[in-house]
Amino acid sequence: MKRKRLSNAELNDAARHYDGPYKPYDLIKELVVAICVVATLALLLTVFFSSPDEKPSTVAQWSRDLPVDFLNTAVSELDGTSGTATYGPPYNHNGEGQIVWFVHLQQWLGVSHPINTAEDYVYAPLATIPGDPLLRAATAKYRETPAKTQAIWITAYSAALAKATVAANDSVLIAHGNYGPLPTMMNALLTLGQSGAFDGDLLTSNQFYQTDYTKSLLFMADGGELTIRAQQQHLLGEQWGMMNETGSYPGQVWLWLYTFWYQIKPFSTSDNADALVMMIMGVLSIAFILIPFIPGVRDIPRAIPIYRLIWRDHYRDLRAAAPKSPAAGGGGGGGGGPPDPAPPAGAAAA
Amino acid sequence: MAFAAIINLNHPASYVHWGFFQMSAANLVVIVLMIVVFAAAIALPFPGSKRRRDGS
Amino acid sequence: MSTAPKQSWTVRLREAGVRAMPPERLLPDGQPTYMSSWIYIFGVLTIAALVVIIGSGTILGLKGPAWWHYTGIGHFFNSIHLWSVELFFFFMVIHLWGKFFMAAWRGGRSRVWMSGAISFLVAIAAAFTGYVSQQNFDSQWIATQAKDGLNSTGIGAFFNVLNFGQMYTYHVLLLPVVVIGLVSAHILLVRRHGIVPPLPLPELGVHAGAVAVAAPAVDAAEPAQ
Repeated sequence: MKRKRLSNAELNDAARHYDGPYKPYDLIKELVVAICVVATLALLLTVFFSSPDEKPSTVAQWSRDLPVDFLNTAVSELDGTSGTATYGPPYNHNGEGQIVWFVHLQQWLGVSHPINTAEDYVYAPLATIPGDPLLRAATAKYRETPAKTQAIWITAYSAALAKATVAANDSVLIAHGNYGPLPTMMNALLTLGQSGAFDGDLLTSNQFYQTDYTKSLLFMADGGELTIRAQQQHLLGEQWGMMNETGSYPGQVWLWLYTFWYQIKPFSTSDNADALVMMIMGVLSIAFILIPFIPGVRDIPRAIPIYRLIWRDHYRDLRAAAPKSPAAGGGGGGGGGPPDPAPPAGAAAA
Repeated sequence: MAFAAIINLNHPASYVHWGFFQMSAANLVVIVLMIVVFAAAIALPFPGSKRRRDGS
Repeated sequence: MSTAPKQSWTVRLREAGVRAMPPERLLPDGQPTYMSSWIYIFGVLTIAALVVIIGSGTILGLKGPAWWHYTGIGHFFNSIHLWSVELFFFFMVIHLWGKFFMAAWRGGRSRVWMSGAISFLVAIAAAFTGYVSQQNFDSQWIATQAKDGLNSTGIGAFFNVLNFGQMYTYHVLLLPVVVIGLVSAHILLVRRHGIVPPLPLPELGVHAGAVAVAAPAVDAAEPAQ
């Protein structure tokens, strides 16, 4: 005879109370044993594998290892074409930011950490270099020149950088050309970078004590230093990098669904990929929290009856104790009675 | 005092590729272990169950 | 019993608390006999991992964020902290899988599920602030990448992942407080509602409101006092 399938309401009612038998169990001992077990596991993993610690990149290192890339980045900061310069909020108003349909959250929340890339990454650092009248004159000349001429110099200089060579002392050699004062400015910036002073400038330009690395990190991220290291470690977005850790260590496996979207179209080719993925994951996260209320999803445990394995001892006991007639048989859960998961001390049930 | 790891994992990881899917060996081990442990937790008998059965 | 007037807030709060959570419910010494599976240990294993995370994290905090980069003992505790995080998520997800397939939200326990799910999501955020607080290449990369996702939602305007000071504060104080609060709520809700009874088996002919058939008596059908 086919049994009527219980509705969710009936399931909930059946699960509210339990009148059946209990067995003694020491929760505190269980907790202490668990802590000892986990601490031991963590200790063993530490002793066997330790943890990764790849040294951070610095502007000094970047300008020494990849001087041409450094100069290309500096030029793009100067002429406002770098990633940071065109980012939009929260750094500046030079870009729209990402949008999903009519939602422009990035724009609506505004510019909270203003960065003027030409000022912060070129003019201000150059101004810290003492006693160099030629450099001061070159910088002043560049600033006074109309934008059209600046653009001619920048284009020519960038083209020259594409064919540049790196000397033994990490300086950059380019062919002669019409670059205006750019080579003076850029070479000074490169020297500043390689000396290590640029790192300090970016951090402490406004105040002595600092814990905010925004300027330094955005500058480096505009260049190739971090990306090249990341690619070697399989940390790029298209390499499922969000889940990975440096070296051969396990990473953040729980981010699998988050990084998954970036691997497939339309996200892998969209300018608004981040906003789209955040929106999808936001919706899925809310759905995850609300599973008890989502029909279909909340029925999966009954459809895939792993519970039969989990509670097999209990079901076996019920079958053994049940009378022959199925109509009077027991089942899961209980009925009636107060919702008391621990029978009252000293009181016999009913 | 230096605490050198017994197994040095500070070298580039090996990766498993399958179509557009790729995963580091370490992450794969973690996921497989999770599935194995979950299956074992459900399948392995729990102490006390035999006692109950014999007592019925 | 009490000498305070009936409308005393203290008395009312205390009595409401004791009514909702009498000591025997808060720390019972017995559990239902249907709890006969290894799947049930993964909740406490998750809590244990959280304890080790907080312990190792506290030691790291005592010496400051740069310590682990230049001493062996510092690196040792950093490793404990990292591996206990991996174990924490490992056990938590298995616990989640188990609870899902048991449909553990039944019988008025939806808040247990929801507090657990939110704990999971907040724990991911807490781990994230840890990853960007490492002060090494990994944190540089993760921060410069994650900023795009967060900026796209406008969150970047007030949650700056490139700001080490801010991220470190979130990691060692603000988010652990939230995680501990959520996990505590989760555990108290479990104690309040009890461990969810098994799903009814269709072939055993269950209908709603059926009285449980007492399983064969064990040594202690009633928990020892």
